[in-house]
Amino acid sequence: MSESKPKDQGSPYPDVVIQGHDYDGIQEYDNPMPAWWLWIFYATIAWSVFYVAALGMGWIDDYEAQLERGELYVAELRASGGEAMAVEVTEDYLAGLLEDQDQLSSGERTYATRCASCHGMEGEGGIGPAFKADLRESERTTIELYEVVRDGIPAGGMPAHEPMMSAQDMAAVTAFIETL
Amino acid sequence: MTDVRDGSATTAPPGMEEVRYDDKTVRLFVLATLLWGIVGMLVGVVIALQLVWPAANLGEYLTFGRLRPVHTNAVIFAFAGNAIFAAVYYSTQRLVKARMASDLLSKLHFWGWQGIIAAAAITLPLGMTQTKEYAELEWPIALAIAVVWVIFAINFFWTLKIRREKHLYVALWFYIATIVTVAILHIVNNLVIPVGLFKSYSIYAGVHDAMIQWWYGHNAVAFVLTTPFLGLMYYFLPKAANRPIFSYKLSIAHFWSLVFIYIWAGPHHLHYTSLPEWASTMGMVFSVMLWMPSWGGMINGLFTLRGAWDKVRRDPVLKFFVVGITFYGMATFEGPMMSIKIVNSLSHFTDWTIAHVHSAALGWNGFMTFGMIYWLVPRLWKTKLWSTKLANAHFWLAMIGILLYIVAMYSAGITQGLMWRAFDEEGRLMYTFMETVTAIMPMYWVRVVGGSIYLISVLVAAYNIYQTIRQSRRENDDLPDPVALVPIPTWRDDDRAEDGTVATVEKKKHDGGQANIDDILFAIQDKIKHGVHRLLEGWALVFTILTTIAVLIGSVISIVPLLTMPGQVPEIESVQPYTPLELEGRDIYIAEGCHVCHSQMVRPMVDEIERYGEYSKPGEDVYEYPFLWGSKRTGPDLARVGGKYNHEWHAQHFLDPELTSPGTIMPAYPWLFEKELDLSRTSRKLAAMQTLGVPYTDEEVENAAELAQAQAAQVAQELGIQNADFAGLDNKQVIALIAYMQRLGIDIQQDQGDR
Ligand code: HEC
Repeated sequence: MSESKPKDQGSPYPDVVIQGHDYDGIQEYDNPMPAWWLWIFYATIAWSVFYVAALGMGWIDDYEAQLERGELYVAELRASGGEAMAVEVTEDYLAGLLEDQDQLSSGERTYATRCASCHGMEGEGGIGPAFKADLRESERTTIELYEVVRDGIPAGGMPAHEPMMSAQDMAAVTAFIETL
Repeated sequence: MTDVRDGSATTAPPGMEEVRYDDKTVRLFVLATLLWGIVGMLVGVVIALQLVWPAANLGEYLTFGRLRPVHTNAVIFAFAGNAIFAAVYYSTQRLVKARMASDLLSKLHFWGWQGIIAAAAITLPLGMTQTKEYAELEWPIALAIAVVWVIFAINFFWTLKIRREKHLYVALWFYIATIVTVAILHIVNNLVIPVGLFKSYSIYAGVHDAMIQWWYGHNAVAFVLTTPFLGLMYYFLPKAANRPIFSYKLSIAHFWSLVFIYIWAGPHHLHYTSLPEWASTMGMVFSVMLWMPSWGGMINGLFTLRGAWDKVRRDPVLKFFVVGITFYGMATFEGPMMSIKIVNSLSHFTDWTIAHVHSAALGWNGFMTFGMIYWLVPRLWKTKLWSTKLANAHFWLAMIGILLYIVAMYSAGITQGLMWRAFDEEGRLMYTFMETVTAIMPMYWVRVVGGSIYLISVLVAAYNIYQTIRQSRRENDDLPDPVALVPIPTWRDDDRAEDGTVATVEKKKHDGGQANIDDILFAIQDKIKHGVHRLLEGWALVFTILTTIAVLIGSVISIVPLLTMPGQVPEIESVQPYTPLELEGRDIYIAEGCHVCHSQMVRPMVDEIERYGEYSKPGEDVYEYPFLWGSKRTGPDLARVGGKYNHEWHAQHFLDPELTSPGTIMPAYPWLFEKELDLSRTSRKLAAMQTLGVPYTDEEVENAAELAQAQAAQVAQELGIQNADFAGLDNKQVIALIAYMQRLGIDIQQDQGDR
């Protein structure tokens, strides 16, 4: 084995080989455990005890409390954001969107991610009915279409989108459908 | 044993004898490591490709859901498994100065293990799976694993029994912990009721099954991928560096703390699930406490190299070891961090976990294995390594491969996790699930590249070793077992210490007299003059028993109360067993490996409730044999998918997911529309469930097939009305799968409706 000259006494790790420990030529030093190692180990134990106690005392949120906080956060968003951005969707409003290129292209993007899977990429229909002007069977007005998007037709498998989309986005996608 | 002593009388000097080490078995294990390493990593690259390019799902037997377990099992049990056997067989013989006890057992172990791997490689693509991660292999193979493991254990402990070296070196402590604990884990987690040669149901349901599975799964990481590799490190690192181990005291402290604490940490795989929160908390705090015990190994490894850094720069073996140990340190810091609940709420179900495992498996296990192989091969084949340059090339390629891989997966995981929970200013979810999938596709491509580079690096290694072996063939006519001269052990009959106090006690006893108390105290003092632990190292059996107790304490405390204490799984009135058809559909879901991509566990978080519906309750899963919560959400959660779409949507989606979900990475399952639904075992399946406590009536069990047929006819008719193209599928598999999909989450909806 290599040199095993003891180091000076000042070093925390004097590197003294333990006599009698020789396994297939492998020796071991009698060094102490690093102090920082021990202290961090103790700290994790202390922290664990603290955590369990704090959770028990309610100082740290358990799952239920975390969920409540999350719900509150979303409810606040809805109260404030929802108000600021609320639009009242009327016949006139929808008619206005049909002229608004920005809104129509936003509607097109929404259509691709949320509608195309059932109504076809080009509105040619599939699981859901077609929107393309020449294939279209329904005679709903634009505002009626909007209501279908919003509330769904549960019996037919069409989901309500109000929980997932803003009024503005639903209006934009309705307008886009009308251009198909 | 006779061959070991052969010729000792004629050639060995007095007091010495010859040992002939069995290196043939070690050579076999090394070759198997390389072979299965390449196979396992190749499959890894294939499934990585499937996740960016679904067309790479090559037909029924080679879809992602079926191949991913092939990859994980191959890497863990075939690659790492054979590597640790090579390490154990090589180092144990030298550390105890004895040949492995039985050549026959060694042979049975080697070939038995390879047979199991081959069986896994065949049955998993065939869809024969118990679903529980790293315990997928169906019961006959699980049984074979138990047998081969026992063979290994007998061979190992028998070798300890006939050892010449009295004291067990730290590497052996880790091997002992490995052998004992893996046996316990494997048996408890594989308790199943067979319903056919390659089909069975776990005897635990839902929350219980989940707890036992992750107690197993986490400790498979501990006792297959950590402890034996620490043993490997403790032998091969000081050998290669020619330096003493940094601290014997640290070895003792970190061994016992690691073995004791690791076993508790399993529930950190189940944070925010319907596992009771106390269990989850326990898993978390023990994971945090595990940080330093893990780092003890890293410190002892890296500090052993103090003063040898110039060597590290020159020697590829040490280079591999240093990087391997560094990855170990990173992964064992990251692990405790990820087990903190709030971190886990982001990381769980995402590719962050995948990044974590790969920094451990490719970095720690891969690099330690190859460091060992580069050190071993020249010694085993009695020649020089063919090319050091190639070994260095391997090193750098592997580094680049890992870094690309993990950076891509960290960014994919964190990106997707944040997208899942993002709300817009109006309090609506910002992204659809598909948008979160599309967003990480570039990262998935980088993974394909990183993984391929790592695979190439391993091919480079294999070529280098192939050439080394050819070179050995040219230089050596054959490779006889190496012979070592070792002192004939006297410690067994001569437990006398130098001053003879022990002998005094013995002698007095022998003479029928009474040893007085002083004699005994002197004897004890003498025995422990090198510390109690030193004494323990001389008692292999006691050492093994204490290790077993250390792992049993945490096991019992984390499992038994959950299974037996009342109130852990509150009953939900409306939750009913599956119909026979739905149960068949569930088995198709299992065989296709849908659970590999889909979770069925809505966590109590606003975004998940918003996206999927009410969060999952423990009582919902009382008939889930086995549980199907999943651990990775490559696709959306399905716990509440029942009724979300009509039958037609599902049929379209299974036939060609691209139709309903443009850009999806879910494979197409056209064969479900062709393959007949097999109802021949339905009755037996219900009977097995009945045995397990599912309240099926005897009538239902008896008429299971007819009941299934009737429901299938109804579902098929509904589907045919929705779309005439799908008419007449009555007895096809897809009908059962749709029936199962439509059932998911329905019971609890009814419960809420009732209220
Ligand atoms: C490679 C991973 C993968 C596998 C394997 C997989 N899926 Fe999917 N699955 C996805 C992804 C991604 C989506 C989301 C996009 C889509 O609708 O296709 C998805 C969506 C779904 C959905 C729609 C969920 C929803 O709420 O919109 C269902 C149902 C489904 N998969 C069922 C299955 C079944 C059944 C299997 C097994 C036969 C399976 N999946 C196998 C990845 C996978």
